Amino acid sequence: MTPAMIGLMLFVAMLVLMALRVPIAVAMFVPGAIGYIALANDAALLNYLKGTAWARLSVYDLSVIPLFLLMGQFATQGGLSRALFRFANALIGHFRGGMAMAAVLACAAFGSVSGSSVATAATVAQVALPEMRRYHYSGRLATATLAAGGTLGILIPPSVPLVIYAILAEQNIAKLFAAAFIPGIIAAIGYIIAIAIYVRVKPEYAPESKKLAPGEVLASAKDVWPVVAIFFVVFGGMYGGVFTPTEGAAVGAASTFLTSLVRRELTLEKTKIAFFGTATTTGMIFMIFLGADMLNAALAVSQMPAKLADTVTHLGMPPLAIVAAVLVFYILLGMVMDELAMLMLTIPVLFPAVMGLDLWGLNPSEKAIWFGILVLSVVEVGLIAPPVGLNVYVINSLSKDVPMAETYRGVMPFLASDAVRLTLLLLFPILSLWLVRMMN
Amino acid sequence: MTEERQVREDERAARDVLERAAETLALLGGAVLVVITLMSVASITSRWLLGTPLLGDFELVQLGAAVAIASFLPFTQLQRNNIIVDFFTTKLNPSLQALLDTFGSLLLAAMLALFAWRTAAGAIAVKEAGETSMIMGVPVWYGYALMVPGLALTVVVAVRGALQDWNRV
Repeated sequence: MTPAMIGLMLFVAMLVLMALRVPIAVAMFVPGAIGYIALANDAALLNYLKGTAWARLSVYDLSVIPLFLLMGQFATQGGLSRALFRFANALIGHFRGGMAMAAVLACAAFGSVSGSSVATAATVAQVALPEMRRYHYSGRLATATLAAGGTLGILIPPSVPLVIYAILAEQNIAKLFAAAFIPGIIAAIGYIIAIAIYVRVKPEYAPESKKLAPGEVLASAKDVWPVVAIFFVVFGGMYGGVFTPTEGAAVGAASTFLTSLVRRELTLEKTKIAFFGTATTTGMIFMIFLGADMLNAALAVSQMPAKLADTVTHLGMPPLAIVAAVLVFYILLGMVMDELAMLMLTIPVLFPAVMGLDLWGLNPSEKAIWFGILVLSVVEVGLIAPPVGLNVYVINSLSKDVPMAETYRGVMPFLASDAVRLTLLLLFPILSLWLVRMMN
Repeated sequence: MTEERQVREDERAARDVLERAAETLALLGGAVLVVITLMSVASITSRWLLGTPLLGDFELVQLGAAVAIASFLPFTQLQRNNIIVDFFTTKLNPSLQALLDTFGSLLLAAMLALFAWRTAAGAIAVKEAGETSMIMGVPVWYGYALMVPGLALTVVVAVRGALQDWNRV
């Protein structure tokens, strides 16, 4: 049996274990460890494992993940999502479907201090969902809006998946964040347009409500400025060369903590909840890292990734068609697999192959950034697409009276909007690269 | 009857200790993150005002983050937050699901046991090699050693979880 065959078998074994309810991290680790023994030997495995946990957990750039998660947790516990939704709703809530649009805006704004899509969806839903139902918005529209809107948490920097991509592809985190801004804003606009069309076709989903007096709009604006300030401090400092992304995340965590304290929202109990929330998400992500590292080490020994890269570059297909095929593969794989695990597993394999292609004549660094934004977009699609969309699960569990199928039906217009955006990003790399080039 | 109750109470007491240990470790990890945060802010301020960063701040962030993350793992497993794919098995009967979960929890325990053991071995090897961090000269084996409690406690939590799964079979 050739090593590449062993590599393929490891991949299949992982999928089987996953289907059998073995935690994803373990489903990667076990075939990886066994494969490593088969391809090298057990002494090599034991020696390899001596340093891997430290090597992975002590990566300086990866420490932004727990810090950004902590920042998002403080923002959640500090009631910042409520302030954002109130303001957005005062601004545009009176249009038809306006409350749903306001929820999207609130998600986008919250996304600028949160790097996780599930956290963004859940925290904005806590305020926006009851409000929309109170005004007789249909369950389908209300839940779908929040499931889709929540993905702005990762589409708008900071973004945990983008950090993971940056580490695996050895790219600059700050540049990738910069590249994500315009696509993130396009996503938010796309969702608002999707809602506008949706409620035109189905007016009964979103009754109109009264316009607020200008005084009330102004009053609600007062609570929003801390988010704006934190955002500018974190990203201003990062791009002004004052600090690294990790330090930016630390500053962000400290300032959201202080803001929540000053707003008198933060109690000892809520601080504990913030720590626990950070702990579970961080633990989950790094556990998958440990498993993926093992499988990737075995795959690297099997030389399957190198063979694959070689095959792909010599396929004779148009490069852009190959990238499109990779994205479709991601969307399909994302249907059955956790999106972060998918990145950790496939980026080391597929990234070299994509980098070998001539795409729009971009230089390697720009190619890597552009591809990262495309990958982020398909990760986002996986979070709301059936059969297993994590965001859909989370939001649906918050509104017991809406059947899961209803939420999935409601998500369709947002997926259509995603498809349009993904096509635009694929055909016009400038959308992702313009801001990066401006900064240089 | 009373004996059975005694066993059950012992089990609950064990769970409480385990839960408290995992929670405490997670909160300690959180405290380490806060220290990292404060140190980063101090370093930025010092760089800004005095033109010099704190000595070795990057190294301390690395050390702190590694220890914090390892300390989060037991609580993550306690909360069953390590993602599983249940899409293919939702239609199975609960007993069979519980059996598969027992298997999954045991495999996770085995994986973490391997990590705990090898990381401890790594700590000894690195200590013997006398490796220290570049700027502060902190012995690197501290980092390795401080990760072991988190890794090891995750094993215990996962074994306990496997027993709970087994009871549902």
